[in-house]
Amino acid sequence: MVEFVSIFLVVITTIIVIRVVYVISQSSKPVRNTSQKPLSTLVVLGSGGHTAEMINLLSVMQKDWFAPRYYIAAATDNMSLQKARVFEGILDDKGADGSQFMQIYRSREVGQSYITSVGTTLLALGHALWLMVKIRPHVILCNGPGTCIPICAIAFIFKVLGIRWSYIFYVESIARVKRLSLSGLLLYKLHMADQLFVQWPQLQKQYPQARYVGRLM
Amino acid sequence: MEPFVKITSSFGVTGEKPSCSGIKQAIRSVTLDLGVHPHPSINTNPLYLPLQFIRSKIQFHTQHKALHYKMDDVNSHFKSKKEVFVTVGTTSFDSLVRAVDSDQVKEALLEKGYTHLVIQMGRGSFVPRKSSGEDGSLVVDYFTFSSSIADYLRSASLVISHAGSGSIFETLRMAKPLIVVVNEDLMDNHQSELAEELAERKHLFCARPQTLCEVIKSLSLDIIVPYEPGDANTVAKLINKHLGFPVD
Repeated sequence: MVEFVSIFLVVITTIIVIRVVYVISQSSKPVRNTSQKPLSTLVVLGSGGHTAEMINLLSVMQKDWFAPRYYIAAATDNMSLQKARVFEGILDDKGADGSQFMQIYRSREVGQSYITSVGTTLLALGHALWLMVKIRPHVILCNGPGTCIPICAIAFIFKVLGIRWSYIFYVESIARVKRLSLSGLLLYKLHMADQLFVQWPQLQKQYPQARYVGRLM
Repeated sequence: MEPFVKITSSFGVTGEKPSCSGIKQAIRSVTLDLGVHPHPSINTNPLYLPLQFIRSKIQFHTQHKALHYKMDDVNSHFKSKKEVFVTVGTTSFDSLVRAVDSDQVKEALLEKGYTHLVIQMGRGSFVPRKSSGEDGSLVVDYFTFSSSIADYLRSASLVISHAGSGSIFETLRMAKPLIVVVNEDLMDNHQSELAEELAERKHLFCARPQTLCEVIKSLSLDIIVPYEPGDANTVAKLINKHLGFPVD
C-alpha cells in the first residue's frame, strides 16, 4: 500500500513538474492567434502611481481586442476603480460595455511588516481564487504592487491544471530604477509572467529576461 | 518726448516673470496711491507708465543686455502671487510638513520670492501654523485631502512633493519646478530610486526633510531640463505581438 502511494506520488509529481516546465516554456513564446477574437482581460490596478501607469498603457491599447475588461483594485483603494470608471467612460460613450469593477483584499499595505503580511496574503489568496474562478480571463495585465501576486499565482496554477490559459503581462513600475519590486521579483524568478517589462535600461541589465520598453509616464 | 514707459512681461521683477494681470493690478494701485490717474492706455496690453514715476521709484540698471530693475518701496505692490504647494499624497509625512512649517524653510522661500504656502498634509498628525502673512511673512494655509490636487499644482510656482510617482509625474507634466522630499521612515524605501534618477537627469530636485532648507536656498530653476513624457506604445505593441494581434 505504502509502495503504491509513493509510486503514485512520484508519478503525480513528475507529471506536474513536466507540466510546469511545459507551461513556462510555452508562455514565453508568441501566440499564434489566427481567430483574432477579442480576449477577456483582467486589469489589476495597484494604487496611485501604479494605476496612473496602467491607465496610460490601456489608453494606447485596442479596446476591441481586449474585451470585456475586468478591473480589480485593493479593497482599501477607492481611487483606482474610480479612475478606471472615468477611463472607461471616456473610452466608450455608450458607457462601460461589459466592463466590470471589483475589489480584492490586499496582500500587503504600504508600510505593513513582512510577518503580518503572511496572514493577509492568505486571505487575499482565497478571495483572489474566488474572483479568478468567476472571471477566468484570457489576458492579465498588472504592474504591482502586491495585489497582483495572488491573481498571477492562481492564473499560473489554472494554466498548469488546464483550467484556463491566461497570458500574464507584468509591467514593472517606473518607480523601480535599480531593483525589481517584490512582486516583480517573484514573477521574474518563478517565471509566472509571459512577459515582464521594465522601464529603465539599468534594470534590464540586471534582469536580462525582462524587456526594456522605455518610460510609460 | 518720453512721458510713458512700456512695460512688458519680459521685464523681470526680482528675477522672476510676473503675470501681466499682476503688473496691471500693481500699477493701478500704486498710481492711485500717489493720486495720479492711470493713463487711459493702462487698460491695454502692453502697459504704459509715466516715466517720471518709474524713475522716482525704481532704480534702473542694465545687466546682460536686459533691463532689470530693483524694487524699493513698491516691491509689495509689484510682487505677484507666487505659491508653493506642498503635497504628501494619500499617506502621512509629518517630517516633511514639520520641515516646511519651520521658520528657516519659510524664510528661505520668502527670500526666493515666494509669497504663499499651501500644504496638503494628508493623514499626518502634525498640524502646521496658518498665517495670513500680514507682517510680510509667507501666507500659510493647509488642508488634509482634496479631489482637485491638479488645480493646486497648476496654480503653484513651486511644488514640494513626497516621492510618490503619481505626484512626481503629474507635476513634471505641468512643467512645474519640483522638489521631491524622500520619506526615510518608509519600510521599503525604493521611492528614492526614482527621485534620484530624475534628479540626476535634472528634471527635479531631490531632498530629505532635513536638507530641504539647503535645497531651497540653492534653488536655481535655470538648470531644470523639461521632462519629455514617455510612450506606452512600445509595451502595447509587444503585448499585441505576443498575442498574435496585427502590429502596424
